Amino acid sequence: MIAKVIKRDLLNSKSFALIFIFNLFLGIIGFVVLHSFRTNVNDLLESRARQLMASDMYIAGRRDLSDEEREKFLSYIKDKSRAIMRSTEVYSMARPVENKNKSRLVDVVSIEKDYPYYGEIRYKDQKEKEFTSLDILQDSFSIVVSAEILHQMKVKIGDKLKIGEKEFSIIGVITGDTTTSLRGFSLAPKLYMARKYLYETELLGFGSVASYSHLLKLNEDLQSDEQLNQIKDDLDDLITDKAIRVRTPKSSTQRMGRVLNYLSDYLGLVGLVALFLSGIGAGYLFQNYLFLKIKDIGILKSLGMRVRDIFKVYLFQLVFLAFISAILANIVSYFSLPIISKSLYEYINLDGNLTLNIETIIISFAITIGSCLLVCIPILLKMLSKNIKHLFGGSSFFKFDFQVKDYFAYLPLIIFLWGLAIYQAHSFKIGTLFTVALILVGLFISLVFPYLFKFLDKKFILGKELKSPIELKTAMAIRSLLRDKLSTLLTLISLTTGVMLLALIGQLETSLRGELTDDSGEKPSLFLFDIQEEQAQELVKLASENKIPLRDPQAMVRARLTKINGEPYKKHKESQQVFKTREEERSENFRNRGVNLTFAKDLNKAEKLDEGRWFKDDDINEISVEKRYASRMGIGLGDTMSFDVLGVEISATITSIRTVKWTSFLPNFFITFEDGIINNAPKSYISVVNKVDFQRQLDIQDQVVDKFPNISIINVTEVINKILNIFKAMSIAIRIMALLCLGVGFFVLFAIIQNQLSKKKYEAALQKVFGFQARSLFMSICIEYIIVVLLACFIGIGFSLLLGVIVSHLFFDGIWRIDWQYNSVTSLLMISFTFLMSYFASRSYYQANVKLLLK
Amino acid sequence: MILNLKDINKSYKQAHKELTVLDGLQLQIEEPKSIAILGKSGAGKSTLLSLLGGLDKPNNGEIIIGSKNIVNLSEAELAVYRSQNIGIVFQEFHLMKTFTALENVMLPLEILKEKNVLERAKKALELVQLGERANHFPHELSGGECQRVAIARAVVTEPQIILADEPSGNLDTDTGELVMDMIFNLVKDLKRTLILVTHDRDLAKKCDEMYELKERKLEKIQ
Repeated sequence: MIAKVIKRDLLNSKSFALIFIFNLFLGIIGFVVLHSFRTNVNDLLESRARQLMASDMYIAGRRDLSDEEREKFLSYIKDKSRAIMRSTEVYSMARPVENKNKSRLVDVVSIEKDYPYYGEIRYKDQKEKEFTSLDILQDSFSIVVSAEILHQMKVKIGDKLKIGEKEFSIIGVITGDTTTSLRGFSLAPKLYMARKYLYETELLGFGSVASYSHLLKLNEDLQSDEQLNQIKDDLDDLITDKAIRVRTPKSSTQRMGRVLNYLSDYLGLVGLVALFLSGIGAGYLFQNYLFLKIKDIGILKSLGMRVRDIFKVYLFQLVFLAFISAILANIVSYFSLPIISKSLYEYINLDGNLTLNIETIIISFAITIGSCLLVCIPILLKMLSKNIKHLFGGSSFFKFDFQVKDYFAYLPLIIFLWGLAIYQAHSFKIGTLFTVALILVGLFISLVFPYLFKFLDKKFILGKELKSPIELKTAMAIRSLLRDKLSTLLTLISLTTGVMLLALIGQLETSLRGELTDDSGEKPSLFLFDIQEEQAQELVKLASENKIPLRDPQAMVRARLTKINGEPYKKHKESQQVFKTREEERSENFRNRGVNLTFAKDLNKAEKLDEGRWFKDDDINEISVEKRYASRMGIGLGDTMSFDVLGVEISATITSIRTVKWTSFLPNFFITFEDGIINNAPKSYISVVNKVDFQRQLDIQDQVVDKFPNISIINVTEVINKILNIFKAMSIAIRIMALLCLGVGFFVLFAIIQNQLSKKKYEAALQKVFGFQARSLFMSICIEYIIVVLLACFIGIGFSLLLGVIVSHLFFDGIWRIDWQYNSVTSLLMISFTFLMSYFASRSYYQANVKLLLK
Repeated sequence: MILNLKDINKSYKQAHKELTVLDGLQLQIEEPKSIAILGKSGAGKSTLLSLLGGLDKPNNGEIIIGSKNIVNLSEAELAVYRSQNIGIVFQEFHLMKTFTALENVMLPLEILKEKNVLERAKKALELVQLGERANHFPHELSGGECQRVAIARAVVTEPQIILADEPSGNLDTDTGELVMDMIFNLVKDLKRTLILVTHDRDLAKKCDEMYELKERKLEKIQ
C-alpha cells in the first residue's frame, strides 16, 4: 500500500521530482568533485610517497647530526636498513662563469651514489641522449640542472656555473624528477651535484640555511605503516632535538600536499555553501509539494492510515529523490574528473588520473540523503501534526504556524552543517566561523526583515492608494515582496549567501594582491641570508661604497628550546589519528621546529606591540614573542623560556607579545631578546636591500655574490610574483566553486519564482482581465526580484566586509582593503542574471490565458 | 440596446475533431435586468460567459455591447472594454493574495487610471458590508467575505454588465444566499445588467429572465 502511494505520488509530480533532484544535484556536485579530487591527491601522494622522498624514510634537520647522534642512529638502524645515504640541500647563488652578470638563487641538492632509492631523475645531455642515473656526478665537479636555470642564466649544457667557491660543469638538463611534485611553491630552481663537492664550495658556513638528511632504504620486511611508525618513534626517542625530524611516507604525504590541502579546504567550504543553498531550495520545494498534498494527507488520515505510515510515504520519496541526485552527481563527477586532472596538471604537476572512489561515493550519498532529510523532516512532521480538519481545508486555508519550538527541530541540521564545515575546512576555528556566519546571515534576514517589512507596509502602504506615489507595476511588486514573506526571505537568504561568498573571495584576493604588490616603497627588493658574522661589517662597507640601500644586518642565533617555565620541552610526537585539523597539524609542526633568535633595542617598522611592555633596563632577561607563535605554543606574558645556544642555557621572561606584518618581507623573528643577552653568541646575519629597480637588483646581486659567494639572495619581487601566480590559480578554483554556489542560489531563485508564479497564474489572468498588459506583468516581476537582488547585494556585501575584517584579522595579519569596483561589477552581474531568470521563469505566468478564470 | 448577440458560433478543435459548442446563438438585452443562464455541464455556459466577458472570440457572429461590436477589437482594446463595461464575479473568487480587500477593489480602478480611487473602493466595500475589513488579507477572510470583496471589485467601476459564474458555488447554502441577495440588490440599486450562469434552478428563478443553453442555442424558459 505504502509503495503504491509513493509510486503514484512521484508519477503525478514529475516536475517537482525533476526540479528537486536537479536542485540537490547542483548542491552536491561541487562536494563530490572536490572530495574525489582530495582523496585522489592523497592516494596519489601516498602511493608515490617513497618516490617523492626518494627513500623509505628519512631523518633531516637544519643541522647535521652530531657524531654522538650519528653513532646512536647508525647502531640502531644497522640491522634494519639495506642502505643509507646522506644528502644536503642548500640555497645558494649561482652564476655563469662566462657571464658574471647573471647570478641567481638556486636550490642545490647534493647527493650520494644511488640517489634516489625510489623513483628516478631523468636528464638529457648535450646530444639529447637521456639518462636515469645521477651517479656520474660523483666523478667530477659537474651538475645536472633544471630547465629554468638554463633559461634564467642564459646558459647551455656544457657551460660552467660558479657555486660558492667552485666551478661546476652543466652536464645535463632535468627532464623528469619524481622527487618534485605538488610542491606548489619553490624559492628557486633545482640543481643536483655530488655531496662531497658541495663541501668544497664553502657554502656550508656557520648558520647557513641548509637541510641535512639521511635517506634510508629499509629491509623489505620492514615496510608496513606500523613498523615504520615504530622506527620513527624509536628514532624520535633516540634523537631528542626538535630540530631533527624523522619522516615516514605517511607523515611526509601531508606536508607535500600542503598547498593543495589548503586550497581544497577553502574549496570545501565554498562547496558547502552550495549544499546549504540547495538545502534551502529543497526545503522550499518540499514544503510546496506538501502543500499540494494537504488534501491527500487528510484523506489518508481519514481512511485510517497511521501517521507513521504517512510519514514513511514521504520519507521514502525524499530518500529516493536524494538517492537519484547523488547518483547523478557521482556520474557527472566520474566524467568530469579526467578533465579536471588534465587542466590541473599545469599547476600542480599531478600526472595521475583522478577517478571516483568508493569513499567519495559513500560520503556523497550519506550527505545528500542526510541533508535532504534534516531539512525536510521538520516540515513533514509539522504538517502531519495537524488534524484532519485543517488538512481538508486545502492549501488555501492551511497555515504552518511555525513557533519557536519548531525551530529547534532544525538543531540537528545546524550540528550537521557545523560538523561538515569542520570536516571540510579541517579547522575547528574556520569551520565554526563559517557556520556562525551562515547562521547569522540566516537569522539576520529571517528575524529582522519580517518586522521591517511589516513596519514599511503599515507605515507607507496599508490603506493607501495602490499607485501612490509610484507606478502600479512597482506598487504591485513591492506588495508582493513585502507580503509574500516566505519566498522573499528564502530568496534573500540564498542570494545573500552567494553574494557574501563571492564578495568575500574577491575582497580577500584584492586585499592580498594589494598588500603583496604594495608600491609604497616599504617593501625591500632583495632579501640576503647566510651572511657570516665576519662578513656583516664588510657587507655594510660594500653597500656604502656602492650606494646599495642595505638595511642594517639583523643577527640570527640558532638555538634549541629546552624548557618552558622550568619544565623540559619535549619533542612532540606526531599523532596518528585519521582526522587532524590544520590547527593540530600546524601546532605539531610548530612545536617541533628549531628556533632562530635575534636581539633588538627597538621594534622595527613591521612590528607592533600587542601585549605587555617593551624591554626595560633591569636585571631580568626579557624576550618579546610573536603573537601567533605564542598562541600556538600556549605561552603568554610572564612565562619563562629556556634556550640552548651552542651548549649554553639562557632563560628569559616574556614581557611583550608582538604582532608582525610578515608581508613586509623585512627580517623578522618569532623570538626577540633584549639587547645585550645573546649578542656574543655565534650567529649569522640576514638583511634586506630597500626598493630599487629591476636592473639595479641584478647588479647588486652580482656585486654581492662576486665578493661573498656564500651569501644567498632572494629576489623579493620574483617571490611575490610566484606567490601571486599560485594565489591566482587558487582564486580561479575558488571562484569557479563560488560561481557554482551562485548558480545554486539562482536555481533556488528560479524554482521559487516559478513556483510562486504557477500559484499566482490566476492572479495574472485576473490582472489581464482588468486590462493590465503582459509587458507590465513581466516588468512587475522583474522589479520585485531586482529589488530582492539589490537587497541581497547590499546585505551580502555588508556581511562580506564584516566577515572579511574578521577573517583577515584571524588569518591574514589584518590585511583588508575594500574593492568597490569588484563589488559593483558583482552587483551588476547579479541584477542582469535576475532579469534573465525572471524572464525565463515567468513566461508561463504573464502569458497566462484569461480563460483560466472560468475553469 | 445593452447587449446584442447575433448568430454566435463557437467551436474548438479537440483530438483532430471540430467540437461545436455554440451554433447560431442569439440574445438581446434592451434594458438593465437580471438574466440567468442554465445548462448542463459541458453545455457551453462558461464558453458563452468568456465570449461575453471578451475573454475569448467567436468563430462567427457579432457581440454588440452598447453600440460597439467587440469581436474585432484587439487584445489591448478588449482589455479597456472589459474594464469599462464588464464586471466579473468568479466561482473561485480569484482575489490577489498579497492585496488587502481594499487593494483588491482598488485594482481595476487603478488600471483604468480613475480618480478618487480610495474613496470609491471604500464605498464599494461598504456596499458589501465589509468597510470594517478593508485592510484584511484574503487569508484572513471567510469564503463569503472573499466573495463579497469580489463583488465589490466587480461593481466598483460601475460597469453596464455584471457577469457572475456560479458565484455561490463555493459557499455553503446560507452564505451563498446572502451573497446572491447582495448581488441582486446591488444590480437593482445600480440599475445594471446581471448575467448569472448557474446550475441552480431556484437561484435562477430569482432573476428577471431565465434561459437554458440547449443544443448549442439559448432557449428562453417561461
